[in-house]
Order: sequence, then structure tokens, then C-alpha cells
Amino acid sequence: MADNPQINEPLKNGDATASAEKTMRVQQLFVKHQLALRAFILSLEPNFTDAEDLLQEVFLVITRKANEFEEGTNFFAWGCTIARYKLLELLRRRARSQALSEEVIEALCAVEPETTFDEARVAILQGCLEQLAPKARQMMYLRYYGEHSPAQIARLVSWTPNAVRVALSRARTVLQECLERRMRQEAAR
Amino acid sequence: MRDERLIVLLDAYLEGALTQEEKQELERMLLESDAARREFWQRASLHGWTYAAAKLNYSAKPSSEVARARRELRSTTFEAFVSWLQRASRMAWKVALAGAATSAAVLMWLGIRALQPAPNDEAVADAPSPMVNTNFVATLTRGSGVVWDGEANYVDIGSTLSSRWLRLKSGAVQLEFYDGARVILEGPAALELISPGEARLDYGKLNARVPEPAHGFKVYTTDATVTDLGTEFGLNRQPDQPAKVEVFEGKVEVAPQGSIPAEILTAGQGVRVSARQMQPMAGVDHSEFLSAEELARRESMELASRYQRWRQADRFLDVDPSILVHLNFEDQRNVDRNLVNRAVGKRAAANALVFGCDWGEGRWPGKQALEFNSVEDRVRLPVPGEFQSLTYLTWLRVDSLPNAWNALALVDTLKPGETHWQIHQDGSLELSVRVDNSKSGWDHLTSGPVVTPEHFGRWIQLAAVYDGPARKMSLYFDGRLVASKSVHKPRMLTLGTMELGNWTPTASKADPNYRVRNFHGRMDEFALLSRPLSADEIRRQYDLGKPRDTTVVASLKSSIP
Repeated sequence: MADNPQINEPLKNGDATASAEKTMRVQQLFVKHQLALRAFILSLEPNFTDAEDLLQEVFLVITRKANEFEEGTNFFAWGCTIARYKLLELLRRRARSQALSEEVIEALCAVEPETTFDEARVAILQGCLEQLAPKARQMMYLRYYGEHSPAQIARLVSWTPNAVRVALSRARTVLQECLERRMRQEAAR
Repeated sequence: MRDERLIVLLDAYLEGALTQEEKQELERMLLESDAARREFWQRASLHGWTYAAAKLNYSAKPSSEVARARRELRSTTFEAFVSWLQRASRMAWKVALAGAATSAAVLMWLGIRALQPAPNDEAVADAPSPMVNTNFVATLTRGSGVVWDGEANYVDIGSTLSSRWLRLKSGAVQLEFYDGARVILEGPAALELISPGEARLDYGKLNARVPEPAHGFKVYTTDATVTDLGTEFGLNRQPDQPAKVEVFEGKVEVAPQGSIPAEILTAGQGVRVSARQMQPMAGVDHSEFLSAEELARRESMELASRYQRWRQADRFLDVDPSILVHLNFEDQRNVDRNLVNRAVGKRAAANALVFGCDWGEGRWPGKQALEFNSVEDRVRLPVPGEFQSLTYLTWLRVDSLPNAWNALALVDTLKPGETHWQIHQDGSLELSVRVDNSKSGWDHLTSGPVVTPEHFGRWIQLAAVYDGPARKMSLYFDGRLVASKSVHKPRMLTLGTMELGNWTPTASKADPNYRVRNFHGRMDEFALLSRPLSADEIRRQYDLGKPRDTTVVASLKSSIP
């Protein structure tokens, strides 16, 4: 994926100003890819709070290592690598029952997630969320906007946790189909 | 082909609900199969993207508003910006950013990016967008004797609301905030819905019940901030009087605006609070506030009497001299496949037949409706003859618009005069008449998007009129004209076998997306007349059939400055 070409100016050796400017450009790349990076992290760490913490750590590492980044190469891939190391580091420090094993994470990261038109994807998904039946939409909003767990949602709407999980799962399948269909339409334009 | 078991495991993983055995099973699948790994990324990244879609509001707002927000953002202060960012994403970015000595420019960009619908600026921002606000705060679930203060403040019961003021002249409503708090507001009252966990009471009475996950629900007033720590409290603020806070169950924190320290009240305690002082009350009076049970009782009585009135008046439609079809789905047994056409008169069509469909509840408790869910569900009825004019009228509840075209009443005679009435995926209504057999040989009338997602799940009235002698086509939504045009060359309309909520094209079309037009939702009344109904008549039908008596009075100056 081609990044902003104007940032590909050569870095003058030993020039502190140039280094600071490069850091800023790399931070801007982070900003540009933050939606995709967050989605990547949430895939491997589905808990919203923990994923957000990880994303911030990735930002700090990227800032610290900005000068190591070769401008013009794939920033998203670089960001994913850093995120993966940070996650593995975290899992080694504190074992968690839900986390996938290191071996599985490595195998998964051999397949790179798709990252084209990030913002369009969000806009399309918002459209798809709107198209859900009212109950399904409420479930998705409680889960993703309210950040409630299925058990909390169950208490809120007086359903069983299992019914909530089934409803969320169905809503996800509808969303996924809607997203795929509309992305195809978008691509065909 | 999707692997069902894998999906179940992936979803449990995303909810943090895997057992150890399930986790091992999932890991085995992911290690063994490339297809499983791809499915993982699809399902799991959807989790992240949905989070972004639910949290970010940029493309959800009308584009003009996005442009305005962005202009404001450019002129905002650094601090205000950081706090906006934190509110927007609930992140501790400040810490991370300060630690990294990040420039204001990057911060600025962060926010601007977050608000942008696309990298390409103004042109995109000013283009019309059919999207609606997704930043829902609460749902208005009940109401009794509701009178809104002015046309601009009208809200339908059942609406999902984003941040806004509610101005109630009289009556009472129940709100369910998305964080879980249930609030009953009694008029006269003015309440601002701020977020799923916050509201501001200007004046009026409210009673909030806050279940455990919603603890922390806040109500602001000029004098104090009331934070619920669980479970039920009342707040009454009348003009020129100190606000009263009464705790019925659990704990509540009251923090006055002035220099008086905050206090925690427990069940049975109450205070009168003004800017300068906080006075304990002798006791609390639960009966001063309308209970949820009482509100529900009043509402159901009002709905029952509305239903009875409709039943009596609806009979007049049966005997209209031009009535061809009148289905109201009443007094039918759930096993009936035969729908009684109540139209009386020599032009009346035969009974209708139901294919698939379930029975459900209609506009009122006890009113029957037909539910269209699957692609096979439909009602068929023969309507022989030729017509100079036609009027379609229906009450329905749209649950979603899954197809490019969603059938209301369709036929497929392939002859000139064939008439179609349907809803496009974006919510626009269309009435079309085949003029000749060429592909472009249709006379169309299409409205703007009117059946938009905020109307999903609510009962609405739709009508369409073809007036041959006056050479006019018109479309109506909830009794209001939403589109009309003149017909250049009027022709006789033919229907043949009409289908409600679906379509069976005679000629098989190759593209299934084109063929599938099933309606998703419920219908609890349908009428077809062989004369053009006037705008007034359609409005009267709407007033007669609308589910509630919610009204509006001209806005009067509120007694609080």
C-alpha cells in the first residue's frame, strides 16, 4: 500500500531536526493506520481495554524506533510486527486463560490481514449496523459501544447469557455478509 | 462455505468465553488449516472494525455536520482537543502522547483523521449522504398522555434517540439509556440526553432505576450533579425551588455545584439542594413519582381504547364504493391460509392466500399482523380488471430493507399497465407503471429516502395514488405527501395476480439479486381502491390508524429562564 510520497525525503545524517521531523512523519503514518492496527490487535486480544493499552504501547515503540523505519516500505506490516512482539511479551509476563498460544499466534501472523480502504470499511460497517434488525442492533451497540460483556448485556435486557451470545453471533454473520457484499460493490465501481 | 463449529469457537473466543477444551480445539483447527486461519482473520478483524464503527461517529453524521465539526476542531485549543480525544475514544492518550513529546500538529491530525469520512476533503464532506446518526443514547420505550412542547420537539414513542433535548408539556415517558438506566420523566419537563450514561434535567420530575452494570449514571442540574451508585432515586426540580433528591433503594451521590462537599445518600434519605445549601428532608415519598408499572398500565389502557376506536371506524373502508381489497388481518386464526377480503361491493376481489409468513402482533397489543421473514413469504390475491385510477394504502412495520427492491405490492403481467409499488434499499418509495415492453418502458415516481433506519421497527403508513383523469402520481408517508409528478400519457392499469411482500417474476431473470425482492417486516392492514384518494382522505386514514395519540402543542415560553 503506497503511503504519502512526500514523506520520502532523504534523511540527513546526524541532523537532529531531520530526525525529529522523521519521528513526526512516522507518527503520522501511525495515525493513518491506527484503525487497521487496532483491528489487528483486537483480533489477537479481543478485550477492548487491554487492546487499547497495547495500541498505546505500540505508539510508544514506534515513536522510539521511528528512525529504524524505512520510509516507503509497508508501515502497517511494521506496526503489526511490533504489536505482535508487544502482545507476546505481555502474555509471557502474565499468562491468561483466554489467550491463544504463541505457536498459534505465529501461525496466524503468517497470513496477513487485508487492510485496504480502512475508512471506507468503517463507513460501510456503520451502514450495515443500521440495517440490522432492532434487537440485533441493540445487542451490537451494547457490546461494542457500551463495551458490555455478554453476561452484562444479559442482565440489562433480561435474557440468558447464551441467548445474548447467539444473538451477537448471528448479528456478526449478517454484518460480515453485508460488509463483504458492499466491499465487492465498492471494488467493482 | 462456512464451518459452523469454527464460527462458534471464534465467537466464544471474541467474547472471552472459551473453556479450556474449546480453546484447545480452536487452536488445533487454526494450526491445521489455512482456511481456518483465513476465517479467523475475517471474523476476528470484524470484531475490531465493528468496535471502530460503533465508536467513531464521523461518517454517521450528516456530512455538513462533519465539515462543521472539523472547522471547529481546527480552531480549538490544545487542551480542549486532548479532552475531546479522550472522550471520543476513552483512551489515556494524554499520557502516551505527553511521554512521547508529540507535537500539537500530530494531535491535531489524530483528531481530524478521526472525524474524516475520507482522506479527500471538502468535496466528499459536502456531498449528500444518506447515513444517519449512529450515536444512539437511549430509546423512548413508553408514553402516556404525551404532549410535546412544539412541533420541533415531537418524538415518536419507540424512537431511538441520539443526544438531544426532550421537552414534554404534559404526560409521561419512559427512556431506556443504552448504558442500562431506565428513566421515567413526567411533564412538564425538559431533559437533555447527553450520552448513554448522562442526562441533564432543566426542570421536571424524573425517576431513575439503574441496574448494576449501569452504576454511575449521572443527572446534571444547575444546582447539583446526582450520580447513581445503584439502584433507584427520584429527582424533582420545579421552577424557583431547590431540587429534591430522594433515594428509594441503594445509594446516590449528590455533588452541589458550589463549595459544599458531596454527600452520599442511602435508601430512605432525601435532600433539598440549591447552589448555596443542602438540607436533609424528613423522609422520602415514593408515591410522588410515577412508577414504571403505573406508566405501563396507563399506556396499555390508552392503546386499548385507540385500538377500539380504529376497529369501529375501519369498517367504513369496507363499504367504500371503490374498494377492491381490504385486508385488516383481524379475527383470523393463526392456522388460516385464507385471508378474508373485507371489501363489500360488486368490484371486490376474492379472498387472499397466505404462503409462509408467521402471525405476529400489529399496531396495538391484541391486533393481528402478518410477519414476512423468509424469501418465500408472501400473500397472493387475484385483482382482475382494468383501472383508470388506483390507491394503495397500508400499515406496516419495516424491520430492514435487505434487497435492492423490497416488495410492497407487485405483479408481473409483462403487459403495459403493469403496476409496481416497492421500497428501495435506501428507503425511497417507488410507484411505477409499465408503458411499453422495452426495458426503459416504465413511468416511475420515486421519493427521497423516507423509510430510513430510524423508522425500522415502528409502524408506519404508506400510500400511493395513480390518478388517471388528473394525470397524477403521488406517494405518501405517514399521511404526508412525499413525492408527486404528472403523468404524460395516462393508461389503464392492470394487476392480475397481485403479491404483497414478494414477487414471482414470470420470466426467470439470471441475476438472483434482481429476482429476490422479499419484504422484511410486518403488515397489519392493506387496502386497494379503484379511485384516487385525496391528500385529505389519506391524512384522515393516517390519523385514524396511527398507533398513538401523541400530540404537540404550540411552544409556550417555559417558566424557567
